[in-house]
Amino acid sequence: MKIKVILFGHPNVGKSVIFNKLTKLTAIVSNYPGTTVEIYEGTLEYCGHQIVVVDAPGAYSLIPRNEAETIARKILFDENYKIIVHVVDATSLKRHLHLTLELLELPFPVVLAVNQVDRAERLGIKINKEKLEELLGIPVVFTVATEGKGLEELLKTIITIAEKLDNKYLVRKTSTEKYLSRIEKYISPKLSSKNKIFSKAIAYFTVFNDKEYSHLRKNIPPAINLEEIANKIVTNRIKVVEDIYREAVQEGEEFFKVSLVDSLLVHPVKGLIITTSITLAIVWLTLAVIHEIAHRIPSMIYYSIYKKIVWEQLNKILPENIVKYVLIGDNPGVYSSMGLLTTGIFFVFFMILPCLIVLYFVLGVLEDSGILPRLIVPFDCPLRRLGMCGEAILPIVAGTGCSIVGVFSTRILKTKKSKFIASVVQWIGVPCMAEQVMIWFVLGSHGPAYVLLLYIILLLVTILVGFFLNTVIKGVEEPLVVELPPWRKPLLENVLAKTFLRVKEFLLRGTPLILAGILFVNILYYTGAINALAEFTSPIFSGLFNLPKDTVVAIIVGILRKDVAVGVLKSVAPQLSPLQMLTAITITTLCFPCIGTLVVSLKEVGAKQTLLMIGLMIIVTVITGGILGLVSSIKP
Amino acid sequence: MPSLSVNNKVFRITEVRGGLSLLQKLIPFGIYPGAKIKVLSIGRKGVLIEVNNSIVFLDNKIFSKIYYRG
Repeated sequence: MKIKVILFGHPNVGKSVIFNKLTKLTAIVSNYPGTTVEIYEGTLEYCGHQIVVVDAPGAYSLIPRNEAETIARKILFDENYKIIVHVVDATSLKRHLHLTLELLELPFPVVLAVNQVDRAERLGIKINKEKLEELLGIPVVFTVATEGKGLEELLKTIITIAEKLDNKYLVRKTSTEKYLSRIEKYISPKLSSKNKIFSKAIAYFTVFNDKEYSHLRKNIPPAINLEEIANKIVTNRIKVVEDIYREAVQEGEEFFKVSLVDSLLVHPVKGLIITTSITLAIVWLTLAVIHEIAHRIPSMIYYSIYKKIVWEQLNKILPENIVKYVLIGDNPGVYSSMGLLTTGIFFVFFMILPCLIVLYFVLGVLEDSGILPRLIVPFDCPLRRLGMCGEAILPIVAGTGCSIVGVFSTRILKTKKSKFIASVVQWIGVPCMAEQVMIWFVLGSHGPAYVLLLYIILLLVTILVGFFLNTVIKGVEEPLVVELPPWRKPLLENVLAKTFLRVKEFLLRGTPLILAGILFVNILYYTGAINALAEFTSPIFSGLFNLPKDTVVAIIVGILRKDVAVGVLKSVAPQLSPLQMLTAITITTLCFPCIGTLVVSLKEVGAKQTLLMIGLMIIVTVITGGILGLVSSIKP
Repeated sequence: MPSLSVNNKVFRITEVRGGLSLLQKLIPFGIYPGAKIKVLSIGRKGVLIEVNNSIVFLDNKIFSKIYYRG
């Protein structure tokens, strides 16, 4: 039997840990149809059943507040029969129960996975499992996902439900029955046959004026006061939750102590300095270590083993024609050969991959430790001045991993203005991790001060662009409410699983583009097209930016891959001075996102806004490149 | 900015002003009439509170709409 299971719940409750433990490394990252929100899906075989597990994006309610929550809800509403596993945090069970009650409005079986029961016990919280099952009318399983405890029982419960119900939909009597049945009567005839089974839940969304279903309100007679019904449902639900909690949970006396870092977060300056320092210290230290170690060893392997075996042998065997030119280039230099099997393999496997493994690992540690959500609070104030809100720091941090991920992470932002500005920031001010690796390698060879200077330039440009956009675009952000998850010791297994998935994604999606970029440059040289292009753009590159005209290649390659673009600079213009290299890398970073980011931006903000972003980006590049060109042309 | 005298004290929420939409937004964080909160830290921008064993940051604009008593 094939069973579909959706892991649903608030953010930071341990859904991903349960997902990774259940599916091991079978997970695949898929995009929800028509969107770019990444959904993790994995399979496992258990007791002769094939269980497909989906890790839904974190959601606080079935009435979505942002696009990620909208997608989470859509996963529940697709045509497949499913068993919902509502993952909740045992230490704060009460506030999760509101979502449990919402999920019970759906016609699917629900299992409550009460996670982190060990932490709850330490806080003196005692949960009566049988009582909770009786009051909610659903099975309850206690888990400590990090240790794998309770997962076997969770699987057994899922199988029991699946075998018992055999894909039968459920009709439950819930506390909202008396309010929703009246509404259901009016809207049900208007629903499609597919949506009819969700009529109760849709009645609930209609009452709360949910965007997707608000059109159904016109079918309800004006005599029915929807506002009043909504108020009654909320009041009733609060009472039901309080009653369940009182009967099933014995609270501990322990109030946990706020950490020093957390208490300082509410201070605009101290909070900003502390969180930024911690994050930058970890990331920069890692980059410095990578620069020293992770590059030397793979480079040594490349030059001492790979080059001798592959390049030298192929150079002897292959006849002098385009195939040889494409595969290994016309010279042994790893940067200048531009062959797929030389420069291509070196970039992917000997340069970017070892560094990405380390950096993704560090990013995983940062995510799991609980530091990232803490950046939201101190960054709220400065980011509001740039037209965003504190939550925009999360797409920015995600963008330092991969710009594509960064742009689609803007879905967590609530307003169009915030989304647009955060996307612009991704385009111009946030180099992806693979590009940063190359920046450290290429620009860092002139000294770390130049790398620091580049980051300062990008930060200044971002601030100026943000101020400008905040002034010209109307709209105000909602005040901030954010939950700070507890500080946690990152779980090695979970961090490794995330690193593996991300690296796999890079190899599957990034590698073909890197190789395509290298092939493209190779063909530009082979056909001589590069000379015509360089001549055409030389007034800008040579005249304005004070760069050799060949550097245009980097900009073009940057459309495919930014990391390759930076690497290409070393081969097309080896004679650049440090300041010229800084100029070249700055304009490569500012000008045009990679093709993947461009496509995602088109989907996320639309064609019109993407065109605006391109216009803005060109202006910013020309001005910044012009200023840097002027500085680099000054003779000492 | 709330008074520092509320720091580290436990209160019970009596009312959330600002309509149903604000209440709907706060319920998943455990903030609604009847809930117990403990003010952990007060800053110029907002307040850190503990509610149902979770730490929540509330912007001053929102915190000013939450009425509570000791």
